[in-house]
Amino acid sequence: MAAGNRSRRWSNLPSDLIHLISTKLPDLSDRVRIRAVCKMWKSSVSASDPSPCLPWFVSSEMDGTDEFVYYCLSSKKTCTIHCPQQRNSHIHGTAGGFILCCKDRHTCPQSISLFNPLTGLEISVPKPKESKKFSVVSNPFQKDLVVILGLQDSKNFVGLIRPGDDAWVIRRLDMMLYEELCVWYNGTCYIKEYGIPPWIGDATTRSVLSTVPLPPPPAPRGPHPILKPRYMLETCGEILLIFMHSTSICELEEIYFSIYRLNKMGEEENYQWVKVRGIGDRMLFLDNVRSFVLKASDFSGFTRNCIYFQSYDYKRLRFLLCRHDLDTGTTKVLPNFSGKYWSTWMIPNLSKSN
Amino acid sequence: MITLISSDKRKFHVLEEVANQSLTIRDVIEDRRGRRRADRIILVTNINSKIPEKVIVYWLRHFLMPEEIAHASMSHKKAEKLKKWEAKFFDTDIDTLNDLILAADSLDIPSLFDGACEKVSDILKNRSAEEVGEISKIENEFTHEEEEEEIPSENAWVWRNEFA
Repeated sequence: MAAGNRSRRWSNLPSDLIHLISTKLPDLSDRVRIRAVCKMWKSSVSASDPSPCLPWFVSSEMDGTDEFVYYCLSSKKTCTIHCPQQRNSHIHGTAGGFILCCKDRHTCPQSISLFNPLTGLEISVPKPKESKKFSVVSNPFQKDLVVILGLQDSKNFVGLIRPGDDAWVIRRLDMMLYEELCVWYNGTCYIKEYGIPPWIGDATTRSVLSTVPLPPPPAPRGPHPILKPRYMLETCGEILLIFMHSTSICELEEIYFSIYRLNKMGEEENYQWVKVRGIGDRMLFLDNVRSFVLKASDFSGFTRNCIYFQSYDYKRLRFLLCRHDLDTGTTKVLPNFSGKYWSTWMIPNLSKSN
Repeated sequence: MITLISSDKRKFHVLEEVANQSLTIRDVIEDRRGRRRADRIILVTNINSKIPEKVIVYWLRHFLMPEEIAHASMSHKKAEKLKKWEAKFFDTDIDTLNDLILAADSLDIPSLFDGACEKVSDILKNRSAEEVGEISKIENEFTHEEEEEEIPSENAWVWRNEFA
């Protein structure tokens, strides 16, 4: 009798409540499993729900393979996705659930496509004529793929393409762009460092709005100070600049982050960098080039004010995925991570269309 | 003071200010304002007496710490304390959570609803469909064909990696 009551209880939970519970599941794979519990749950839980889900850290081998591995932050497990159709592909970036795959050689790709490893959907992308080298700068949520093309000869182009487009929208730039130091904000504005002083400009007209000196890099600590990449990103209307530095190449305990926020002073286009102590209810995700934030309160079991980043263990010669807690200043290595050479964050998406 | 009556006819007396955290009750009180004392009795027929007890405990804890403070100016320490308290509050069996979700839904208490849903999703995450079925005691009524063909092919990547 009791068992009968109980079973009635759970399958009687209205469909919209089941749906709401499923949106609280932080990882996409959990939502897929929930769909397999019973018919009612399957019809209540949408596989392509737009509610926030955790990013995966995806990677592929240096010389290309037919499998991608991804790390799931919620279950703390590394999983493999076999994609025979992507033999010899490299991950070159991600956009809206798609991986930008380049077949064969990284320096001179034979073919480029956007590939969703979960649905198998592959959309071919025309090869840009302007350059053979490129680097993705748009964040993984964006459907537009913003790419910096050609990092040689000081001739640079910014390319933009959407899944399904026939051609790139190319903008020529007359200076070098450092991919980790430009931010796409409000569609047109970007900020970059170009010689001294760095400036804030309009991407369309290339007119300079303001100049603002970068904050001085953090004072070196320890006997072998190393300044790691800097990142710049836009979050909730704020521009953040992040310095990552450590006192020694091997010691995770010695990794520090300095965070600055760009403040607008008064009505004029005057800006100033202000050092901030933390990022509040946010989690920051870094890879080699890109950075983005998510709200910690959107994901049950995840805590605020922390940074997820990739590192390398020079003693054991393997990649690490780490979490730095800005409250305590400590860094922990995430368990069961086995990443490969080409790696980046992606937002998994089960939607069957582009 | 208002009176809540559960499905098993138990009475619960609650301060109006406390019960106001339920948007449903707040609207009912608003509608009946100025009427006789008998109208301050609210029937909550869809839930048994165990649940109003829990809901009232939740209300009282949150009444001492209104939402606005919780978001804007609450100190980190206080926020941590509330979080700990909530973790303990929601640490209950899955059937009680089910009832809490239903109660929070019908009484319209957003924070209780979110908290209970979050706890349930916490229990369900990182588990196989079979385990979830067992926990929630739901009969899987998929046909043999569906089970063998349709579901695994839908998202082969999940099943292949299933707790390898």
